[in-house]
Amino acid sequence: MEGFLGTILGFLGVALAIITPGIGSSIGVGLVGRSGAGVVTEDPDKFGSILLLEAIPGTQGIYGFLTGLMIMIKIGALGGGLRALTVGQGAQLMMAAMPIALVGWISAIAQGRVAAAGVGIVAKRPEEMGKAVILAAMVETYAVLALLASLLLVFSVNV
Amino acid sequence: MAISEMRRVAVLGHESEIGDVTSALQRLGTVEVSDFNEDAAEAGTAGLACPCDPSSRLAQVDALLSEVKHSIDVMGRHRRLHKNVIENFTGYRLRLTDDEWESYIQNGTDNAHRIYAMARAVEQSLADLAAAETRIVTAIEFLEPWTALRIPVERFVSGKHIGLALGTAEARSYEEALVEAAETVPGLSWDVIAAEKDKVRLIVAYPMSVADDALRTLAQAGFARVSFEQYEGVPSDIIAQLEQDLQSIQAKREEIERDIDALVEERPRAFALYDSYTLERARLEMIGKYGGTERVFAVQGWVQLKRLEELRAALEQLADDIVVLDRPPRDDEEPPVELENTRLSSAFEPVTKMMGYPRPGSLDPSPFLGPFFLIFFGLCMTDAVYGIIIAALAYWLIAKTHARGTGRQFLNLLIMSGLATVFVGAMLGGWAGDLLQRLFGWRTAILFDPMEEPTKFLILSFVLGVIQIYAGIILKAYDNVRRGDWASALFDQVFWLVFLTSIGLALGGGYLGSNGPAIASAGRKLLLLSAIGLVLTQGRHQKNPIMRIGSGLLSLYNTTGYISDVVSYARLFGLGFTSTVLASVMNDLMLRPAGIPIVGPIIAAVGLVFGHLFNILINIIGAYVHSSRLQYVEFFGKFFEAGGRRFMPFGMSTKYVDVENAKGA
Repeated sequence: MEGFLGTILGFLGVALAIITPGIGSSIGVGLVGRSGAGVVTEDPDKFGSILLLEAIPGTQGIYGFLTGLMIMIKIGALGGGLRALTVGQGAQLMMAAMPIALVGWISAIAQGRVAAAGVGIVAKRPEEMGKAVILAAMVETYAVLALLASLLLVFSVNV
Repeated sequence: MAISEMRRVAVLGHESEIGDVTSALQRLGTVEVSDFNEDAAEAGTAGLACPCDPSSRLAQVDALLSEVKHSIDVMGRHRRLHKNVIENFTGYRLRLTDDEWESYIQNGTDNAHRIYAMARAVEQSLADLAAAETRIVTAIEFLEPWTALRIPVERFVSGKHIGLALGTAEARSYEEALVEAAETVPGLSWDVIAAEKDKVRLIVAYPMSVADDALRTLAQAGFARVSFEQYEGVPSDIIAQLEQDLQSIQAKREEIERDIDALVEERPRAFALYDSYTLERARLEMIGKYGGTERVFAVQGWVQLKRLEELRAALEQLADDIVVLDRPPRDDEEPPVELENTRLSSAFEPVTKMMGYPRPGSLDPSPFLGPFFLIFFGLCMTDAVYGIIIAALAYWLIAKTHARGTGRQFLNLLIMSGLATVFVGAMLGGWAGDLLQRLFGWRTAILFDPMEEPTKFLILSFVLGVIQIYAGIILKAYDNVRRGDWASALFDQVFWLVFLTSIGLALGGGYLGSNGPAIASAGRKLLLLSAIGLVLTQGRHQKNPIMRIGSGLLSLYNTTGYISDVVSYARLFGLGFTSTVLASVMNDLMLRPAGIPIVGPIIAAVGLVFGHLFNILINIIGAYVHSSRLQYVEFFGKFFEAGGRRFMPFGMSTKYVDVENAKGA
């Protein structure tokens, strides 16, 4: 029972790390795609720029997935040798996933909003597109820091 | 490696040479023309109207442009322009040689009109055919139910004694209603020609003596008369004829398709004409900015010093009486900014330009950010194979697109970034992730393996951050010294450098082996000294001595800014580690089916190729964006002075056509 509950907590960590940033990125990418489609209707040549902007809020999903993967590697879920975790270990891994789970989620949506507003820059002043990208990238800092914290915590857990 | 030196230039010439000079300016593309009269107004002198008025020709050109544009649109509606993969992103470009360009734009007005007429003819015939087709289809629909009539429709006319009418009635109620009607109109009789679900087609006959009565009663009974006035013959024959017409319309369509093909063959010419008129329009608008007297026109503008002699030679050979004057910018003038770098470091100009142009007289950061940008990009990708792919792709794009200007610089940057990625990847052992280790057991890392020692990667990121921040402070010091402001260089930069270094020594000196404690204690003393120095000097703009010390004390708080700057470089680890781990996971997943006999290795190979391409795709955007961001926020923040106005020379900007050698016009 002990190992059973610990493993469940570990899995919960994986699930959280992958689910919430994934949700955030889907919303963020969706926001940009929706406003970008309007611009592409008017001027299909801008597709490349729009695609670039649309990709930006997608990284949080990848960070979350990465954190989930690191936990999976840690508990041996990749490769079949699943380890039984104590409740303490499981809880630690779950908490380690929290930074990216929460910050990744919210920051992806915020970044999606900035990038969606940047679509306006691409529409009206395509030569300034780089600035739209940089504005959106400013939001990413906090997702990177959260990823960093999550990864360092995952590394620190003794399994 | 600097901001290009600008000269203010004025070109004077006789009014008859205005066209030649303007064309030459456009072809050379080296002068940013300022509005003569606006400048005069600013300077408080009276403006001088240019001797020529381009507005009538401008109206002609606008009319021609709209004709050509319409023709191009018609072509685009009927025959899609074939773009290659790259052009879907960059927009279509037609490459012409000088000769082709010249031959396309000869007799421009005639050709523009001719192509427009072709386009209009195609549109008109298509519209006519569509109308005819609708007419025929409607007629067939109308006649279809009457095919049971085997007598020509024109024979259904009322005679002297008997009236005849064809028409429709409600299927459910007509029988009852007509029986009732027959009671008031004796002799009324009818026959059903065709019965449908809700409607019947009838022929009715009635005595002519009561014709008016009969028709009124019939109308009350729900009988609607149908007129066949426009038809002659048996309905089924008419339909057969109409169907033949329909086929001939189809044949005509094919004929028009050939017309469209002929029209689309003119597409390159239409593109060339469009661009040639756009260029002419730009020239005419430019002339509006000139000043002059009755006989003489004057152009004022900015030119890069290095292009001045070329400009002078090109203009003065046009005619003997053209004069090119130049002078350095006055103090109250702000020249536009163009960056000037060696071939190697010009690749970093796009990074600077994305942020904005530096103020005239300040530093151009492009060559300084170069090495950092490359290493950062490499760290974010962390894979030698990815680097090879990126560099090869950029090289291929250069060959394929013949990009010039900023686009070319950007691709050069991508090649260099790819090569830097190869270097970093080799150092950290990333060859398509850990593929070599999985396949052959080779341990490829030269420096360290980020998968095994992620904290080393993180520390490396911080160290690079410290180096770049120091470089930024030193650049600012250099800039201050260059301007002769030694005091600022010493107080604002050297003191800070010493202060920050001594923080590092005081905190970390203890770990430096046997001399560690001594270093740490020296660091503490240095820290105290430099802090005192900062407190004393950082408030030197304040008059009040207490405020001065207060400002000085407060300035120490900036330390947190430097710390958060360094922390920001953790993104290099975040992105690089993501790329490394995902590459390794790709290998793990894709190599699993490799054990299956025969097909296994194929599945694994295909999977690996796609997996790693996917990894490149999701990482390359982040690598570029974050490598740039670290320059803008952390590096530029230390020394960059924004606010330069971009140098925008009057030149050949076209929508469709690239002319090799850019002669043309």
